[in-house]
Amino acid sequence: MLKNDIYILFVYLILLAISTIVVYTSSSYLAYVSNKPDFYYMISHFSKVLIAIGFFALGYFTNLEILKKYSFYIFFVSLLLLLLVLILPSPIAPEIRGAKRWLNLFVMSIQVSDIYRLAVILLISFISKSLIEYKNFLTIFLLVFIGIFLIAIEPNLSTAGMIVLIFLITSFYIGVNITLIGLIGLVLFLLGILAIYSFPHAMARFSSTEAYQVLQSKVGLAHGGLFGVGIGDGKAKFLYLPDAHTDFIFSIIGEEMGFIFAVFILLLIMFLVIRGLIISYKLSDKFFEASVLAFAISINIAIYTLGHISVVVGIFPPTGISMPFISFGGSSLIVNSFLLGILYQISRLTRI
Amino acid sequence: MIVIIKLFHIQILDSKYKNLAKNQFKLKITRFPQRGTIYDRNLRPIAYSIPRLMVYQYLDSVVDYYGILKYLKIKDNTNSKLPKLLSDDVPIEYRKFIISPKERGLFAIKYYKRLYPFFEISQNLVGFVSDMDGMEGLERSLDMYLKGSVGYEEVFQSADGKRFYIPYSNKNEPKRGLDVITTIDMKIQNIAYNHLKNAVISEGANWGFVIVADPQSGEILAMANYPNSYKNYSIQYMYEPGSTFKIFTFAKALELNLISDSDSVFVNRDGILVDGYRIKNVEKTSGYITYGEALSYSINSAFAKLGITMGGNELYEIARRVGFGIRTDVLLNGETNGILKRRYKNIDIANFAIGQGFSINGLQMVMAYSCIANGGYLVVPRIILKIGDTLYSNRIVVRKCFSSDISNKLKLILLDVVERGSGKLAKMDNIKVAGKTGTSQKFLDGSYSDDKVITSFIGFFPVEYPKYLIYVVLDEPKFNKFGGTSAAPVFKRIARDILKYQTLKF
Repeated sequence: MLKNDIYILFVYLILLAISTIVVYTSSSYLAYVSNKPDFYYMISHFSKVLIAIGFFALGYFTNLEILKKYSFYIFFVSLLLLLLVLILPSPIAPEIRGAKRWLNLFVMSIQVSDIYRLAVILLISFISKSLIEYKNFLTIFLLVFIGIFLIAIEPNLSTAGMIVLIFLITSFYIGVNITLIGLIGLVLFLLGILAIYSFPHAMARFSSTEAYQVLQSKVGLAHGGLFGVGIGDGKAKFLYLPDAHTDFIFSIIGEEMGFIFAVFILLLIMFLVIRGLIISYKLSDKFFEASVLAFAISINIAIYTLGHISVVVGIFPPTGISMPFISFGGSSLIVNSFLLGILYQISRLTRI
Repeated sequence: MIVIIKLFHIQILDSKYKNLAKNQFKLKITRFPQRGTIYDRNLRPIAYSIPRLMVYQYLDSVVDYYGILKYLKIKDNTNSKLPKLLSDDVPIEYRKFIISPKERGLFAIKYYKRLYPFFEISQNLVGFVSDMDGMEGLERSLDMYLKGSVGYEEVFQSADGKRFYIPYSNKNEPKRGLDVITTIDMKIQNIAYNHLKNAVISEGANWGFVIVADPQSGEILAMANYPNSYKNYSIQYMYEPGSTFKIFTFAKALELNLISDSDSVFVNRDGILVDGYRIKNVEKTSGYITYGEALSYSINSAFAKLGITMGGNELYEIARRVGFGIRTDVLLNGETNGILKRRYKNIDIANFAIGQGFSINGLQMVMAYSCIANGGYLVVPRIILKIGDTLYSNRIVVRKCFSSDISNKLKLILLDVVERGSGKLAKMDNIKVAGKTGTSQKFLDGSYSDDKVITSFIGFFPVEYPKYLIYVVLDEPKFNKFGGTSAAPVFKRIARDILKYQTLKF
């Protein structure tokens, strides 16, 4: 009798608990200055945590055969959503800080690129066998590229880049011709550079004037040192570090809990990634599509985590990359939970 | 792996960010202490500090601007740039009203405002404070007691400028300065100031001062100066004393047995010639008079002769003995030494004997006359009764200057000056006053001026047991150019009002 990899669930729940605490401590002052109760963002986040657990369960119980059948529909719906978010007027698709990324539903606002990320991962996994044919691969790539282009002009270059990375690395795992991937990668890289130059806000992030956020992130980390200043006693969140509860949440972890605990959290997430890769490896003979799916899910988590931390320590320029399972933000958390739920389901197929 | 190394580098190794964190998150703020109060001897506050708010406007449009101005009772000064000071005199209770809501566009800073209820009459004596430091007068000389000490507190400041108190942080409470009770009596100060002011104005004098002291204890009761500034003329200015010094020439002659009470001296209406210089007399009489009468009418030639007889060393000794040429060590700022030198040439000795050719400060003369009034003791002038909890009530005797026999003789002669001599205008109906007039010529451009003089009168009462000693000095009076006519009446008015006040009090 094969069992689920219970560690995935266990680590997932620990991360959610940590997330709730860290979101609270990093957002309390922000809530205070906007004349809200200090746990305002934490409550909002916690409700999404509960929803996310629901989506984890949904991912766990979903019949993958049915999901496979509908994967194309999901993809096209998400593409449609990307189009809608650019077209629709303000109350439904508001422009926040110069970008149209969110769709305002009645209960919560969702970042449609997260849904698109989910759709791409599902699509390329379920049709992975046919992708080895380079014609099919190019067709799918062009389809995916439409969405990436739409995301890029929101503008949200970092997410576009992340999805491209996930797509290309997964394609490599599937076994698509490496030259082809390299060529596409090179073209997209050049396009990306072109895009950076054409969007003023993106260019600004590479220049030194926007280095304030990164400096503050580093100052916060240094303030924490080896063991941290203690949960709640961090100083960077007092508006020194903008977006402390989303794009720079790892900096708050480093400040309040110290280097050791920050690395511990990083290892927890990497534990999920490695479990996912092992599952993917074990399944590669019998269940190729499931193997690809496990791989894509793991890579997705890994790339986002490393991307987030790279920004926090100043390797990458500050772009809005949230930390999986930790950052404040509903849609990203829900999508990642759903994918992890699927990984949990797949883990049943093999013994680690 | 790379990110972990980088993370380790930032969090543990690189001290640059650590230092930034240290400086950025902790703010050391200074807490200023409340300055001590200066009281007069009857505990009327002369200078005290109260917490007040400085209210600044930092936004162009302030919600309900005129309503607030009216509420805070402040005037609008529209011309200045933002942030502009609206008022520095807003009561501390209004703080909440001013700083909330923050969008109102105002902010308030707490500080201690120094108030001087008797500013006009005591300005020259009390001085002022700049920032935290006493700059002149009592504020300066008592600064170390009044100042207190600043406190520090480490607070955390958020990026939007809010301050948070760190529990258990390094904290150093400010210490309030000590209160000081002075010997000044503000009622007497007021009397002295007003009569002085009137005299300086009506005589067209440059400046003037009045010192009122208790000759027994050396306590200074009033120190009035006019015109108003932060200069205390009574101790910070040097001038030649003139005839008020003659009593000491006389005293020395008595001690040396050069003269006795009944000895007569021949005086010539034209004065005498010494080394080719003429020592003139004001009183145009000739013939034999006693030395007592010579003092009463302030006959220069008689005292010039007496001085030459005893010699420069003896004059120098008596002047030093009664305290000239050295600071009185009063606890006030900027006292001058005066200039006192041994003299050897006859003309210099003659001038010395009549109070010319050397300079003093006003308080030195007061203390020298106190010797006569109190039975012969030179005491340290005192302006402090109490600092904090420490009493300073003992009189400090520098030395015994005169035997009681000599001092009694001097008193009687000074009484005579007022009863029938040059000090007649200081004479009072119901109380016996002893005193001496003084008119010193100013030494200008190499010679003594007949026109520019310093007139003075110094006297004490009641003669039987002197309680008050008053010294009035006027610089360059334009109309009455003799101490007997310009300064003695001021003395009388002040003495009269003091007596009136004292009868009311007892």
